[in-house]
Amino acid sequence: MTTDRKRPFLGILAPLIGILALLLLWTLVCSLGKISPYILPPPRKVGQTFLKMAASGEITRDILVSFSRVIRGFGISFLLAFALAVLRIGLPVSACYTAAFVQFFRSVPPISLIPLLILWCGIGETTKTVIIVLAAFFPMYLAIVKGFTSFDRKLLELARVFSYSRFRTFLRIILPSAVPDILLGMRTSLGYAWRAIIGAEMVAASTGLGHMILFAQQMSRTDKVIVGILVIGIAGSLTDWLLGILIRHLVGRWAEHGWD
Amino acid sequence: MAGIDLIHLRKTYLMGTKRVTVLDGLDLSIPENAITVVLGKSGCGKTTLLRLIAGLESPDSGEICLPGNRKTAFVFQEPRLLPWLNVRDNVQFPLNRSSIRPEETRNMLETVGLSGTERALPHQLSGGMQQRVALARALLYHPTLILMDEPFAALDHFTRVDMQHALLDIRRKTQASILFVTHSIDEALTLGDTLVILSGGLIRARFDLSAPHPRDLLSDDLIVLRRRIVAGLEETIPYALSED
Repeated sequence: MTTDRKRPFLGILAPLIGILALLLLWTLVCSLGKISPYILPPPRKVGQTFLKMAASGEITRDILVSFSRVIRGFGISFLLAFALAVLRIGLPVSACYTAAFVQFFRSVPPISLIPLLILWCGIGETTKTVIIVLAAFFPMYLAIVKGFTSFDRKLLELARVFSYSRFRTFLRIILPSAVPDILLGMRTSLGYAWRAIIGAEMVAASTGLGHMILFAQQMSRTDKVIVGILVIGIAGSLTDWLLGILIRHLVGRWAEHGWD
Repeated sequence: MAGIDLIHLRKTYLMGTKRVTVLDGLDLSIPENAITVVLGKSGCGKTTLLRLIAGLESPDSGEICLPGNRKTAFVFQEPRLLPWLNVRDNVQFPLNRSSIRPEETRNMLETVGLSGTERALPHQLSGGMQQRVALARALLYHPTLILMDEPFAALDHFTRVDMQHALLDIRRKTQASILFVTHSIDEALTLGDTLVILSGGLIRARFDLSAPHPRDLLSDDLIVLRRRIVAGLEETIPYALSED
């Protein structure tokens, strides 16, 4: 961030040069004629397909469907992670009961639960929401717990001296101390949520970007598959960028001296 | 408020396998509306004494008699400012939303020489300025008892003198009882109404000063007193160690 501000070339031009170089390489490989356009369509063809899909509203519809699923699942994950992290610090003994579950479900890839979830919940929105929650919950929960437990203990003495209640201590000391960790946990989880929803839509959906990619593959439309992949990458990067702005806005004031 | 009585106060810590006796049956009466200065070498238990009175630690035995209607503020050795709050919000930290008066905050910052820094964050201030914010925070709370643990140790000479004057001025206006820990004899003579020497877990000497403020540290009386204090400090008795 600081580097970008000090050297605009590295912040804006360098990534553009990297992207252009990749496009040139892609065009060059395609123009050699050694690889079938079915396996690797040229950038121009992918671009034209994107414009057609955008004009017909097809891609916009899929983006909005996937995006709304991510936001819903992510929101539920955040509320759950926050509530359980508060329980974890308010009632430390609760960690003894939940530690085994947390470790177990952290190790189980949410995609592996899809068959069971389809059996229990069908292929409706519930299955996809549960998969996103399972994917996004753990990084966020662990980050929030870390934030709630790794603050400067000396500040608690300050609260005790000035007769703060436990609730006021949480609001004015523990929560603000944990904000950088909470936001970074949210950022990590958002990436996990995007990965999970695309996987889920490939298996158990009739709408969304994941379904669009799988359907295009079945129709032998590699250009559409690539459009889908690019859109997912851009949508994921965009949401991450927006969250990054939020993080800088909220914690940037003290991030420069070790609070990042 | 009434004074504070410490009766047979004993406090030990476990240090490895040894138990260190920091306070060993200490008795002390701290008068109300006065500045009591605790003098002693580093590690003699001065900070522990303050922490016990503040309720941040419990004694092994003994009794701390505090007035029921007290409001206690603590100025720690380090500023302990909240890094995400600006100077104004840090100073107002002890207050409820309803008791915040912006004009009073401005006046307090002016008193400690920090006018115009209201919106600065702690990391933008020097160590001395941060300590002055901590002092302003304690004073704005309108405490009846102020516990001060070498609060001016990090300040340069001139700022230190300014802060000492500000403290005396505020004490005059608020009539708060102040327990001030320092290892500077000059500071003790400048501020104290009562001076006590802490050594080996006990109060070894007590001096009551009646000289009015501001004091001339080169006056005959204070030079004699200084000699007695130095002699008292030189008779330092080390910690008592015992196997646990």
